[in-house]
Amino acid sequence: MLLQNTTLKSTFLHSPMFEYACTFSSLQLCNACPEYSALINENILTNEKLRVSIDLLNATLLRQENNINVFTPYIPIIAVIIGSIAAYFFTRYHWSFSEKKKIEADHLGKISTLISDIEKISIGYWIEAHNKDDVENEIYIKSKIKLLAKYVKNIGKEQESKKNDLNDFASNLYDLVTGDDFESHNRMASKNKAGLIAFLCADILANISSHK
Amino acid sequence: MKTLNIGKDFSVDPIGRYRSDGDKRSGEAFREDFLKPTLQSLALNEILEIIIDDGVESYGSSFLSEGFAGMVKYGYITKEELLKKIEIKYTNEDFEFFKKKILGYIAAAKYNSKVYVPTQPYV
Repeated sequence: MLLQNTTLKSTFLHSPMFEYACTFSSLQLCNACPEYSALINENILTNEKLRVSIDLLNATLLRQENNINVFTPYIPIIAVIIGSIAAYFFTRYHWSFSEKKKIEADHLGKISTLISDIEKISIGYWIEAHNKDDVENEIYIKSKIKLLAKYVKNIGKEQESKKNDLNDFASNLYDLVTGDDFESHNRMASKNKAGLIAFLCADILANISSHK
Repeated sequence: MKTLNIGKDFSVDPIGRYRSDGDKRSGEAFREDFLKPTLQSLALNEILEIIIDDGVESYGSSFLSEGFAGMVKYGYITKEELLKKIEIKYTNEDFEFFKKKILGYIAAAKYNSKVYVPTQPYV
């Protein structure tokens, strides 16, 4: 037969002869060349399926168009507004959280500095026996411990465990530094007490820096 | 109810543990000359209100423990009775710390655990 191989089929499909053949009725074509008839039938079927799909798509689009209500054009605007509000609240929350953390860190920084001051004065006081500087040091020690208690009292409830640690520390430091022969003219030097003060302060300062 | 105002009735500058430390302003002097006689003068179920922040800036623990816990330590009164008879008052919130310390020293004191030997004022 003339058009048996693939190359020839392809040549035929793009030839004027094919166009001419297409003008024949399917019956004529069926009789003339059954192979091309099957191919054309297959194309017709494909086209038919494509047409059905397009109709379906059109029907769906038409339905969608009918469903559009008055709010539909505002949906993107509403979405943008909701997004902006959410972003605003998130930013505000993040900002206030950061501020709070900064204030807490500043407060703990002040407490650390105060503890270091008390430590320095107290060690200097107890490492030597009663001397002319005692009255001045005693005043500083008492006022700074009172200030420490005030600072600790001002720590927020959300830092309860830190507050408890610092309360215990302030109480122990007060007993240690202002106990025994504090404010006595007979006071002897106590290197042991000075050492205890240093270790107590070092412990709490390490504790504070781990919390910062 | 009787009132003992430390700043007005005793001293605005209470210091030291014994008379030998700070003359008339010591914890020993406060206990022996003010707190003990006032407590003894209370009627049955009468309360002694002690104002701790009127004119006083601060206290050392040597003064507070000797002045208050000394009452129990030298066997003048049990800690339960003492805690029942006194009421620590302040208006300045900073003095809450000292109130807690006073109550803590009393609660920790051992009744009649020491014999009181008066000391002589420092000259």
